[in-house]
Amino acid sequence: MSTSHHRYVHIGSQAPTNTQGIYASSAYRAIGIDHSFNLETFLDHLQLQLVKNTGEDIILELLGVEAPLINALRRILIAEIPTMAIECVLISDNTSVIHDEILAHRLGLVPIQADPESFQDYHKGEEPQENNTIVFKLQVECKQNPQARPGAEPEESYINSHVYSRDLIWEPLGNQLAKFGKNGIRPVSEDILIAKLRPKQRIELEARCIKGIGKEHAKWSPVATAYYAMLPKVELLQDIVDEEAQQLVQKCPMKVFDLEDMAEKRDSSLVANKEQQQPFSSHVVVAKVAEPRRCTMCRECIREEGWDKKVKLSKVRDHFFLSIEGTGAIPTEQLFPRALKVLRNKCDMLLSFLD
Amino acid sequence: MWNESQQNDVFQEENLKNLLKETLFEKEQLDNEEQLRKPIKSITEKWLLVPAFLKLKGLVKQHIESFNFLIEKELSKIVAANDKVTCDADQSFYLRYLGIRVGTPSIEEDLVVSKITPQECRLRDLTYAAPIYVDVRYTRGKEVLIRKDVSIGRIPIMLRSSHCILTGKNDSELASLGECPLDPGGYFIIRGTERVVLIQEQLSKNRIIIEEDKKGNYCATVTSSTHERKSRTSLVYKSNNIYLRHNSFVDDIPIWIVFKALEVESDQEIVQLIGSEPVFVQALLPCIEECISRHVQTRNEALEYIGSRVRLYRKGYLRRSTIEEAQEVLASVVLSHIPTYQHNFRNKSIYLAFMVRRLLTVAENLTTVDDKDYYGNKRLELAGQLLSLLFEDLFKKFNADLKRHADMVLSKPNRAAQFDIVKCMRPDTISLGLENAIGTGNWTVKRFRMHRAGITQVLSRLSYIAALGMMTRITSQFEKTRKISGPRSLQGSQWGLLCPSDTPEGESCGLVKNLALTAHITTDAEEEPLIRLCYILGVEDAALFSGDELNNPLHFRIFLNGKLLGIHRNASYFASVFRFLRRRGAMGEFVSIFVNDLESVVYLSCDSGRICRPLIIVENGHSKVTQQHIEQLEQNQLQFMDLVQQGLVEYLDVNEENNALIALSEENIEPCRTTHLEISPLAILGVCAGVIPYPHHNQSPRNTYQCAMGKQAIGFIGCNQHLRTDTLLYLLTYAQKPLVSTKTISFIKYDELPGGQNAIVAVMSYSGYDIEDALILNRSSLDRGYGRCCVVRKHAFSLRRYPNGTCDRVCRPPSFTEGSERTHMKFSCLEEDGLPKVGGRLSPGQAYVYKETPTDTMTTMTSQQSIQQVGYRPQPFFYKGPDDAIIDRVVVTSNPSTHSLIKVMIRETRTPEIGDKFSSRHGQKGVCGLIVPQEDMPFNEQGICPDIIMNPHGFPSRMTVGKLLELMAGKAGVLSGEFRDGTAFDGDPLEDCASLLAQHGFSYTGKDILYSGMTGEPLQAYVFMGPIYYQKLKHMVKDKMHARARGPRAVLTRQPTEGRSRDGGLRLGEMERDCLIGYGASMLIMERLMHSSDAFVAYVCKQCGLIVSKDWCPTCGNALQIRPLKIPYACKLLFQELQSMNIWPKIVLEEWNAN
Repeated sequence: MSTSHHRYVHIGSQAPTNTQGIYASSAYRAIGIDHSFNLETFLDHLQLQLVKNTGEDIILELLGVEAPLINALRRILIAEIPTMAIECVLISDNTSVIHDEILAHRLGLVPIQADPESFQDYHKGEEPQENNTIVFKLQVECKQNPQARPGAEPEESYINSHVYSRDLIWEPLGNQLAKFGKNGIRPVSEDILIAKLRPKQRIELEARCIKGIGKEHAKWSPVATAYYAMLPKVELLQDIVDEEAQQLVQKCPMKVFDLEDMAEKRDSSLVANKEQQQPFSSHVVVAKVAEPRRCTMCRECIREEGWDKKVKLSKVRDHFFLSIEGTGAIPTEQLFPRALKVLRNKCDMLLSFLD
Repeated sequence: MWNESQQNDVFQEENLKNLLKETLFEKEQLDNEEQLRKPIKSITEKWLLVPAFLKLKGLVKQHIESFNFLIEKELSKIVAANDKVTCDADQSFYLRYLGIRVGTPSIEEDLVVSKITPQECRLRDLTYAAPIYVDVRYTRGKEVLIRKDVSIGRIPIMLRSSHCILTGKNDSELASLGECPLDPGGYFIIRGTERVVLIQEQLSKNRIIIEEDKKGNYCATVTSSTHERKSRTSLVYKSNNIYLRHNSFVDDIPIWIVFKALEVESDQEIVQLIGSEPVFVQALLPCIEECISRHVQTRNEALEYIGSRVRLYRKGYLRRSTIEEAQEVLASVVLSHIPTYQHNFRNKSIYLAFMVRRLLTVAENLTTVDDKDYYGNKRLELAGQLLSLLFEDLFKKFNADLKRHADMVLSKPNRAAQFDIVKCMRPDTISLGLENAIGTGNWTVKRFRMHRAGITQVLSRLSYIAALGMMTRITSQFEKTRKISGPRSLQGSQWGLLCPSDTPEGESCGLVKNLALTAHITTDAEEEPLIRLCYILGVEDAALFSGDELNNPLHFRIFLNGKLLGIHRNASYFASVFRFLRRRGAMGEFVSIFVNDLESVVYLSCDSGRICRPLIIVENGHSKVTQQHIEQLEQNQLQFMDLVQQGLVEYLDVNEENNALIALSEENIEPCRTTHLEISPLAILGVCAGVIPYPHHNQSPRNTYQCAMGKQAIGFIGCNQHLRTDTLLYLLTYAQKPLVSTKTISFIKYDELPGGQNAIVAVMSYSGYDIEDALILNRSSLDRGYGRCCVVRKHAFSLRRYPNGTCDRVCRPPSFTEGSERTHMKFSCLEEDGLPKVGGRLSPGQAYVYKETPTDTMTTMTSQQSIQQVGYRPQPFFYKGPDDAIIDRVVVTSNPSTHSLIKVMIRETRTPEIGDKFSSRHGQKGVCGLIVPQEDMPFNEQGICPDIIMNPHGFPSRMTVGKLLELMAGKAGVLSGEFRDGTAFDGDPLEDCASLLAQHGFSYTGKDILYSGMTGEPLQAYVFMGPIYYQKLKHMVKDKMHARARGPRAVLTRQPTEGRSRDGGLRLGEMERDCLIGYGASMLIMERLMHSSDAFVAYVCKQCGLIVSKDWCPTCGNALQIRPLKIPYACKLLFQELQSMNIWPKIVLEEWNAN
């Protein structure tokens, strides 16, 4: 954060440069600058903002954070927040075309909505109990539909031709029903296809969910994915006028650039470019960076020879958009705080080791 | 194929004239200049003809048509040729076959005949065969009887052929029979295994080929082939003389003598027959001199000369005079495909003269020798032809057996009952003969002294592509060991007929080929109507002409299937009328006509085994197939057959292609010159190469590698894959349709039974575990099901019935009644009947079947009681495998040859692990080098994380640009939500895909900004990332990993056993040993080669030097000087073996001094 040069990753036409940040406290010792982490300055710069929340997806905007920290959060989101997922499947009958192991694997990947904090880890050989296991029953048999029109689609001609996640019925153990309520525990989505059946085929099984983390198996990951992107920064190194400006606007598929009439511009004179002193003729249109946040770094604007001298693309190193695409197993809003909690626990653990 | 009545109509001369008028009228049109100047409208999507063609014929049409031809036509011909059985003992006895037909596939069990389905045969290890019925008229005593539908044996039925129960069934009917609707058929089921008769490539029969023999002499060779005989006649040009060489002569016969023996006595006539051009006359002089020097002037002298040089095969045969002998050989053995009627040798002498003429043109450097590798000189033998050879042989044997039986019975003076020959017909001769030949692949035809092995192979069901690829495979008879490049290299004439990419690497490279997509192999057509047609069209019998007239360059010789039909004075007219009539359907569409202007010969052929392909006819510079036709095809209003019948499309074989100028596309059509238009360039590739996207951008060997690897890819093998009981079945759990598809993929329905998955691939380096093409896999992708597969193994055994009436049994294992904890564990997977629980988990070492065999199988039991008292010995089958497996299915059935048949299918589900092999569709294989958790994987700004990371070093040397294009097209497809097309010589252009990427905010170059999953910072390069279709190959570490510390040893040498299957040792070979010697590591050598192998303490008597027992030397009679000695057991064995040969190997011992 010390110099402005180091604030940006430069997106060149051939390769990105200046990608690596400098985090070592001793990095600038030679010139007498202490680069060690300072909580106060960190907190001063830190800004967090919720950009988008659809319930499933959340985008957070973080300022004043360096890549290692946000990456740690991302990694924790993917791999270290515990959830409940089906681990053990007791199959009493399965005459479908899907083999038992595959069926169990498919069931395992169905996100289960349950608060893992109410459960304890299940250790192998333990008796499944109300505090470590959730039990689901699946009991489906396919039958011919007597009312079906001849030659109809399988969905109509057979009853239960498709087995969906909604067919997983929660069997509360002990006080679970009282604790979580009638709809407290269920598969997140109702219509995840588990298997297809034909008349006389049936599936009867008991599925047991236990607590686990994404590190062990992806099914315990509370997110489909979590990722971040740095804030794009688009600069025009020189004034781009007339036809070139038109071209530039045309080039960009994401509509980052816009045209501006010069007369207007002189009035407002808000955009402060270095080469603005040049005199303009009356009919000039100038390209300006209208929506830099839209830029996906597709590098269309600098693809043509010479354009990288006119447009400069870069990324702001301490400004991130963290996207969390939750599976729904844990409400997505809770994921980020939980990730922080896990990170905090890790730090505590580290500190306790250091002591 | 053509309509009989229509054909007859055409041969009415009046009709013919009308037709000809039309041709001439069209010819006038051709001169119309304006028409030629019209711009050529291009037909979009003319490739739609290819699926139309495949819909008509199916993918394995060649096999099925050939087999249908055998069943429907050839069988009756064979029977007609061998229709009578007589008896030497009773002259009045006879048996005559009146007809033959083949029934529906069925099986007789306990005298009950029931229909069988192919799936039943696969499950029960039966043969899918149908009975052959004949109608016979024969004598029984004094009566003449007619019996209908007498079974003479069973013939295996090709699946989906006309007699197969599957033909004409729709998809749901097929499914109810347990059959996959996408299965192409074309193979046989013999005792439960599917076997394919591979297409055999041969040099064509009955054609003159000029070649150089081993000594560098030119020779003209003809391999004559008729139903009775195969023989090879050559004319050799050596030391300026021409000789006839044939197996039945002990010596080369001077050609002049042969001519004289063939009733052409005058030298002038001979010269005229050959050609009286000065060049030829000059060249023939030495021949005449040679003849004179042998003192042969007249025909009789010539016959005498030849007769005395006939090789005698048949001993004790009726001895004939030398002249008769010579006449007989000349008439029926030499050039046996030219028939001689009543010793009229005119045809033969004309043919021989033509051979001499062709030989001389080469000898005098007027033309060059024929190219043996030219595909027009090749014929392909299919299941039908091969089976007809076999059937005729077996039928003859069957008849000979009948005759022998009749001789034996009828020669007896007094018989109890009247002799009824039908009751003596034993169907086993033909049934077993055919079954064994197809079942083993050993073809033995006595008539032609033919013994060939490996004609059939087990149909590979590794993947759908493997099965299809096998059906189009062509093997040639060339020796694999010989280092010849000619037959192995790609020949120009193979264009469009054979796949240029699909051939194996290694010893059979180029000898095993594959058919292209639209190639078709002809079956036999009738010659008679063609001959009649030719004579109507102005062909004149050659025998009517003198030699000079024959050799007039304006007179074209007309050959039909290698036989000289006659002469025509206007060959180009003849050819154009002939072609016109063919397009009108006056003859089979596969009849070919080839005008050879150089030789002044027109070759007509209608024989079987020619390879041909459909082409669009171009007339007056315009394609006859128009956009309208294509639209009608698309709407199913028109079939491919209609196009052929309307004369818009025709089949050209390799020879006729020489008379055509084929344009690749409409733009290339040259008015007046172009005769045909290619349907689609993608059709030059075969089934396996058709799967590759953008193959025209790849280095060609890469496509060849992919053709081999596509067959090893795990995927879906058929819709009935879970019903099948194959010995080994690999199934991919979540196989996907490729994002970048090709037209061929949709033609062959690869998208319905795919063999791979679309993976997001990042081309970058990661961690160093990706050297040498190794791949990095994303663990979360694997967790979510990427590359997951099932391996199902069959463990089959039968319960034997022993001669004394006892039999094996499967019964309740002991753990159900008594036994320790351990036996209980061993048998815990079994149920009370001794069979395993379906769905149960089986650990290594557990029994999956509890079988017992009787202790006494030899002594004959007298009563039922004693059989019941027999004791049984347990013989359980234990599961040996590295990991737990699951019982998939248990099949308990029986078939006539075994008492009871039990098949246990054991299934394993595997996720990819380090060392498993993967490949893209561009011949780029690699093993998994590292599995990385998702959080460590790089990701882009959209949060996409690669499934596979591939090292970029794989590209520069391999030059698989197609793979780069596949990635681009795939990425564009994902973004636009549609499948992309990467068809050969076509496919979505790169620019389109790239601009689509840009539209969606991705880089035009396909390269993304990636963040490192470990540091969280952007990577220092843009990474080329997108979806590529990856195949999981069948080579998995789990099947290969092997290590041993201690283990079994061979009995004889006491050395560790060999091979993984026997838990063998890891061999320290010669080269490794040499290294150690060079290094001087003597103790290590001692350890590896002796202590870790077969160390043995032998006791040696110092006095006599022999290996003796520990405490007594029998040679010396004392035990005074016996010393222990550590030697390899193999060494001890050697000494003892030497002793057994009376050699005294003395071991000289010296006291070892420690200092």
